[in-house]
Amino acid sequence: MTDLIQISPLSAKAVPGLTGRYRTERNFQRLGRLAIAMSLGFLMFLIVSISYQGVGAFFKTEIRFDVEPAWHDEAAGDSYALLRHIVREAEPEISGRKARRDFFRLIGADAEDVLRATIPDKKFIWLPASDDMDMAVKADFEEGASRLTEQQLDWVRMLAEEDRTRTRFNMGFLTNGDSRDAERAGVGGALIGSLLTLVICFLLSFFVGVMTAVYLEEFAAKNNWTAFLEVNINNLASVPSIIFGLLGLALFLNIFGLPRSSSLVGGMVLALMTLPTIIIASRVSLQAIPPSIREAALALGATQIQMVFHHVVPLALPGMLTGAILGMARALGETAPLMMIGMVAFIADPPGSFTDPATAMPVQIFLWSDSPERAFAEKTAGAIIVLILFLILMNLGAVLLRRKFEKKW
Amino acid sequence: MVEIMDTYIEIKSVNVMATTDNPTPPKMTTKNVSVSYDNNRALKNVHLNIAENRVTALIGPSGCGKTTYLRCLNRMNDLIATCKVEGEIKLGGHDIYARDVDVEVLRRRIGMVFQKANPFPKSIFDNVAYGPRIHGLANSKEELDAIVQKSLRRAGLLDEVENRLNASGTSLSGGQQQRLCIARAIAIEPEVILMDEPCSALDPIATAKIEELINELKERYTIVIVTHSMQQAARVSDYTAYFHLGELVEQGETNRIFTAPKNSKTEAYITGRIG
Repeated sequence: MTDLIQISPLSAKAVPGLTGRYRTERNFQRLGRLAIAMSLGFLMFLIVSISYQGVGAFFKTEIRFDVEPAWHDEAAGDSYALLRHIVREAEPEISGRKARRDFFRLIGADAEDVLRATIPDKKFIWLPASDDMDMAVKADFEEGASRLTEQQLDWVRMLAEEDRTRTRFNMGFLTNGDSRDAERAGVGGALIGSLLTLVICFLLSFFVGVMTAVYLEEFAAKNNWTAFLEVNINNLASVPSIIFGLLGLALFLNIFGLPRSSSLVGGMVLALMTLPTIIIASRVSLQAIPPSIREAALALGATQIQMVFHHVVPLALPGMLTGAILGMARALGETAPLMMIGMVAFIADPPGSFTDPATAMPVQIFLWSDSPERAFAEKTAGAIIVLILFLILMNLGAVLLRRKFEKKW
Repeated sequence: MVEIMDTYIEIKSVNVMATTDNPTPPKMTTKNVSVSYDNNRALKNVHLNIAENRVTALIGPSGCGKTTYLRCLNRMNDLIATCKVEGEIKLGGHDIYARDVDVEVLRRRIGMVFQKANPFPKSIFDNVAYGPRIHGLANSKEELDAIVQKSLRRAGLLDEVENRLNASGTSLSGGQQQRLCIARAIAIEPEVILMDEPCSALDPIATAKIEELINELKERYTIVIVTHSMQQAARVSDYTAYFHLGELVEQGETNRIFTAPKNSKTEAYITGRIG
């Protein structure tokens, strides 16, 4: 039995210090896992809390009312009169100007829009509830969760018991522009604004950035002047974005006289900001192309231009695109420079062209986070969810593009 | 030493006759060529003639300047900003460093195969077709197909890749990749082919194939090959030049260099005492 207790000469214990080395290695791996767990934890906290607060923005409460075709003719196109008629008929027991007015506050500001769009042969109609009632329903009629009075809360409970309320997907949140009424407010305008801004930003910064990188990396002589340029490009990449906003204000708006608040100017400012990022990413991916490929092309009698555009640039393209999309993702989240050029204004209509006044997603979030109404807090979180989904889509696009263009050798 | 000589005598006997009976005219001449990188002399006063339709081997220990010399011949050294070439290099009597020489035209006539196979990450067809395409050598798809087929056949690769011309050039084995690079080089019908240690990363079987290929290619092309393997120099070359520390120590018919080297350094190198 003694030979079982003996340490085998092939075990780790037989070598002095080896068990200690293994312990260090295990501890290092544990630290790494801990770091990953922490970062994932923070990320989960952000996503869970934002989702919890914002998911309500994608749903809205509706109330059912009976309606007769004849009422439409009576109202003669006046949807406000029709709405009052419907409500008066539905709740005859509510009497008195004040009580009626209080009940009327349960109906959303966009109910008229719905009435205007309905065909007059329906027996009943679902009208959107006001933001206050919507909040009360979503909070399960909890006291103090909304601005409703005791009386109004009773009515809402009654409507719910009669099965006259329902929750529907709030399409308007994705398609509407901004509004003072929380029921009407949506991120549609800001989404289109962000999209137009990014299109301008990409068109300006990608091609200029890639050409700059290609020239500096492949054609320019390596001397003090190009070293100076390189230092300055790196400096530009770390300039705070608000400085670019001020530059845009001074240059594009005041000197060139381009339209204020437009996605054109927004895109131009963001392009200035994204350019250094794209130049640096493109240069890095050009540097990563092995010299053997360049030599192969040159030895066949290809000119410098042919070598660069037939071989080097196609191989560096995935890296360039990834850099560009990461730059775009950063631009999508920028608020400060856009505020400088007036994209922070209240804009109700989604922009129809590059020169129309527009706002962008992060600016919309900033604007709503400032609104006192409780419903806007929900909208803010909802808009953050939309922005994050937008970012995820862009990054996914970057991965897919990379896969598509990447070549193995 | 004895082994080397045995191999050499077997294979070389035919070539020895050919070169001694017909002294071939030089395809390229180099006079007094010196190369320096940042004032460090890499090559000193090299005089060497490259015989037409013959294989010239450049041998010598690492860092002796043989690759530098090779890269002067198609002006690949132009790519290195600090590299300075002096002296006179002529191709068919014309100075290749003259002011009005276009390097693209020059490299169209002097092809190169590199130490490490470097196929483009494109299809086998596109690899070979790239040179003819940029130089406009084919007027139609059929002509291009014919050039690609011919080049692959001459490089001894056609049978192996005929049914997968659209496969990536990088999917081939190391030896096949190097033969693909040779096919790519000969697709533009150069007059001279420079080979920079083309077999250094290959196994003996792949090496044997390339050497066989070099023997066939010299009927049409003038070949300059840098090699670290003295057996290889003995097997494939007609002329050998021995470089040492940037100087051309000795040159002559391969047969003579390996059997009766005049310089003691050459003898020391080929017998394995230095290197």
